[in-house]
Amino acid sequence: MIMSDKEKKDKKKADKTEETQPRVGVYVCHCGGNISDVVDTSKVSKIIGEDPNVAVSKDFIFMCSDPGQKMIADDVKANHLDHVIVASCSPRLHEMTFQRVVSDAGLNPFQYQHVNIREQVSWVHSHQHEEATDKSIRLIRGAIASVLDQPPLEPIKKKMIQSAAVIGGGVAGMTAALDLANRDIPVHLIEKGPVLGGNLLNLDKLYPMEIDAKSFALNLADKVLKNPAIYLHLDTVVDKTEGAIGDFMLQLKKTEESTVNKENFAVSLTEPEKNPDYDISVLHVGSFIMATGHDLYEPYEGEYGYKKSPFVVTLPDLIKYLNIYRGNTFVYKGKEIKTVAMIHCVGSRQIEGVHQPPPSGILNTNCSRVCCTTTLQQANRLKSLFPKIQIYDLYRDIRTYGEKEHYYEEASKNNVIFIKYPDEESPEVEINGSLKIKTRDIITYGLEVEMEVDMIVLAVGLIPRIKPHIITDLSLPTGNNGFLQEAHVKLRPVESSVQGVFLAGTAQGPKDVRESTTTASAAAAKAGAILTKESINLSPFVAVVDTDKCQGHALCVNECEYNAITIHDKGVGESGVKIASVDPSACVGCGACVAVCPEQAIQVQGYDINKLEKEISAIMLEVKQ
Amino acid sequence: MSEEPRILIITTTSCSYPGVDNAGQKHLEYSPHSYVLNVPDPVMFPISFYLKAFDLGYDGIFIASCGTDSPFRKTYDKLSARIDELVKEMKKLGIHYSRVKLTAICTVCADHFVKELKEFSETIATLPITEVPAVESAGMESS
Repeated sequence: MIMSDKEKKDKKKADKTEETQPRVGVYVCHCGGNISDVVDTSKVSKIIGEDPNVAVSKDFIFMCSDPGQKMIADDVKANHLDHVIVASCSPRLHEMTFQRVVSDAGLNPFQYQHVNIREQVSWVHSHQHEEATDKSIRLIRGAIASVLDQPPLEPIKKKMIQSAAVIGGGVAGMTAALDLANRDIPVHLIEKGPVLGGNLLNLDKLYPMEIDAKSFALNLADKVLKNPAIYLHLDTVVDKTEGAIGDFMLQLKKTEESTVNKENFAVSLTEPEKNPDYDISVLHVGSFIMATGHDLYEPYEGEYGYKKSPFVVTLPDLIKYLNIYRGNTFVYKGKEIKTVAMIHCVGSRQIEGVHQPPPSGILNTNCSRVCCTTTLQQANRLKSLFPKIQIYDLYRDIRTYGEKEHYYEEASKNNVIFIKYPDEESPEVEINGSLKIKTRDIITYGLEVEMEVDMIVLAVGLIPRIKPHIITDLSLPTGNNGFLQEAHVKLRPVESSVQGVFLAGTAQGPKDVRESTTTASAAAAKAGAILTKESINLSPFVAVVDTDKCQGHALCVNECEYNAITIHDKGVGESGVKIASVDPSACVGCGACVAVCPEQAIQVQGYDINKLEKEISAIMLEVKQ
Repeated sequence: MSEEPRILIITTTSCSYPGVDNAGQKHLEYSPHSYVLNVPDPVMFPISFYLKAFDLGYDGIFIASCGTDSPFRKTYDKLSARIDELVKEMKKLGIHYSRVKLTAICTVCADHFVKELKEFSETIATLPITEVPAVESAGMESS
């Protein structure tokens, strides 16, 4: 058959369209009913399949399963897909999974887009099936518009300085430093005080094995001192921090009251590179671990009689006292103590309108996790040392979780009297020669209880340290409770949201010693995984300059808080013409520069404003039912 | 389906996107006519982007920022200043200032998010329909 000129022209056009027409693969996950019980996934798949840019549109019971992943990889190859979209759970769970699938199948991983139709559709619109289906279609359409405008991206390679810093010389810091050093990674261990050990030095026995805390600390410190890969900086704080993963600059400063006598240590301490000023040292490390620990809540004057009576003490004060006391009867400040009341939740689980906020002004609403066990451990200790002593335990809930329950059982056997006071009605303490406590006991249906005691012990909570410079310098996020916040509570529990910065111990939240050392080892393992590499691949989501559009206004330079943008001559033969350029290793991809450029000549890769506009535009297109 | 206001929710990768996810994990309900656009930080958007969104038919823009907990330096101050400017621009164009809301949503602020979004949606529903003048694309390219 001979084709007319018009037919030839049309065929040529059709062939060209076929060559240039995008081939998107869209995969809608049922999530085993989590999505498909609410969203009509087959309808979504059908309607999306009608889009001329979509070459394949399928729905499946579990896209994240091996068969699901294989189906996508096979389709990419068989159907020559150039972009892939999976509509399923949150991208925080499986975006990386599917990026790896498409990458293995030969696509650029950034030409993949994830659509969240579980956490942000089926789980929140469970009674509106029609609307949820409509929303899913709109979100996928937005993703198609967006991904089609997404050029392939390559990660940014950066040289890794293969040494680490650990900030804080407590149990978590020492554990993390030793773990890293044992992998032959040089570690700078920075401790603000004159000795290693931190809060551990003030404890008694470590539960559940009843190991002596001080011996445990000294044993760890001895290992640290003897490890040639650990460079110890005592009486030192981090005064300034700059840089990013691969090369963090830490400027160190000796604390004002430097009391360390290095001669006392068994091994010589290697000093880091020094500035002309002796007190300042500058370190460059590829990664560091925050093991800055916690502070203890200090009751305000008059809280349960604190500081109004010398016989109202905190639990740590009692432990310190018992650590050195050697009498047969319990004598404190010249008085024999025969009855003790221990009050839980002092400075923890605070309730607005009931408790006075600490000086920071922020109520500590969290449970401090360790005080219940420690209180009962010390109650048992008092009973063991002075069998005739009477102990009242005033609690809100007993949280001796896991195997620590045996402290509660032992206290019960020791005839400790437990009184459960109401959350919103703290016990009242009267000081009138003696100490009188009034409260109500929930267990006995709110019976009013009064008791006279010789001593009151306040089980104070753990509170976050006042923000050191390093937190503000790097904008490390803190949670509502003021402790450093992990990137994800389950998936990234020891990582901060700043790449290369890891969290160990109570800097991240209240923990006992065993939990602290566990997180320290986890943080060291994470840091070690990147520090053993000579270079690292960084996110490509950084600012880039369109040199054709850039007019060299330098507004972006002034807007950048990371000194990542500079202005320079455009090139040879174009002197006087200025343009901006971005240092990708310094850029954090915040996008502050984008909004101020009159020419829109600077964009964050992956978040081009034009691309995002297309996305929100596609979402608004009506869905034909 | 009901004609509830269509809301563009702008979230941040490190704070509010996990916060909105958290609302899902808790199976809290909110308007299905709300669509999340996630970015590292809304500070990247010029005023024209918001106006374009109104032009496209969004009845309200809910900016779920990190607030002062932003992992990026000073972006919240810059964002707040920009939204102030946006509101002035909206007034000039006859768009009610209540159609944009800047708030801070943390990673676990599920209840707060749902409460704020519900209030925002209810407020917008009471406003008279505004004809938004055509706005030039922020991306400077035809879309």
